[in-house]
Amino acid sequence: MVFDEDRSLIEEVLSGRLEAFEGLIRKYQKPIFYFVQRMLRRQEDSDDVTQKTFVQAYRNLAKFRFESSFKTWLTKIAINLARNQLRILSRSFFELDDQVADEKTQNEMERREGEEEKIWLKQALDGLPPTQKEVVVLRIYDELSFKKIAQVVGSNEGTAKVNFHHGMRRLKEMYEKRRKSEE
Amino acid sequence: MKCNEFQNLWTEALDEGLAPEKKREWETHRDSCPACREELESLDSLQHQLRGIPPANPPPPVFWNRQTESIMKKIEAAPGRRLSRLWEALFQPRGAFAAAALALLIFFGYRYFSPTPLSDPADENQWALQLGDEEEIEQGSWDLDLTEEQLDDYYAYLAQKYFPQVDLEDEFSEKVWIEDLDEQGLDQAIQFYEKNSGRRTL
Repeated sequence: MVFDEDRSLIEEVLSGRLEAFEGLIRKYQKPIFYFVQRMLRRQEDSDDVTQKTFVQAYRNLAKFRFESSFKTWLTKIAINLARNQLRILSRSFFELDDQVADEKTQNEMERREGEEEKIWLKQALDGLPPTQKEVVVLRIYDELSFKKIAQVVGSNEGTAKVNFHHGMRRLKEMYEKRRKSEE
Repeated sequence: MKCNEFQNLWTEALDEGLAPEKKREWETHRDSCPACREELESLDSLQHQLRGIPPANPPPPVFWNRQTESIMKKIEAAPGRRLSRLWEALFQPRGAFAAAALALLIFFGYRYFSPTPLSDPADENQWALQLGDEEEIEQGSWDLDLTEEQLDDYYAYLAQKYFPQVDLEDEFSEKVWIEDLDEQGLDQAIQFYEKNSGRRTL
């Protein structure tokens, strides 16, 4: 059903009814934005990458062949743009400073709410190698199957599973170490 | 089943990807091995905790409307949109090739206006069909499966055919995707095309 609805919207857009694209944006902007935000953290960057994702999807809509769901295809575009953005951010000290400041504000708010463990986990997740973090985020928050994750990140299913397993075990080890040090 | 295999099959089990017999073995091991069960429980608990992390700074409701409007504005103003109209206008018997020539104008720039003689197939359709798929040609995406060398040859051929007198060096000094042109750049490209082909586009 979801596929049919998307297909008809996409066909409308391709036949020249641009307004139909708004339906696709409204349907998928939140999952794409939150996915990007978990990768990039800062709202400004996430908004920018989300917007670019839809603009690029529009430009390439004729190349979408319905071999995956539209959401998977969008996430694939988003992940490539987010990777580029991460590369840019890693080169910019100012951006990183801003990002850290944003994070601090957010973390202080959460700390006040007594959610230190969540803060720690979020930081631990951010500390994973990007290939592991991508897969963990897609699996945990977007609830994608490993087959779909492989499509999105451009790897095979086995690699996606290995990256997820390694990422989760790494988080678990860090978590256990932290708990022991607190005891 | 050994502990190592049990742990390696964890991701398979998550996706319900185990064959019935393997699944039974896996469950039997889980129920009989306290160490593996503990490992599994802690991984499950960790997943649960991760799911409980809310998105950072959830935006206010008005944010989504603003974002939608902003995307739609960008799309409406995008040269790609104007380009698709141009493409439709060009789609006459030989229109796709004329449009491809327009794309060439920007895509390969002046570098391909070399005086080197190129082969000149009698029929452009035949030339394109040798390189791409008929359906893709109609969709304007036939060039996606070509090698870079084949694309170079084809665009260079079109360059000579449609834009023999255009001096692009002043206008486009480097390779640019047509989708990346701004309004002014697209206008310039259209003017070049119309001037040199004698065709109207929009």
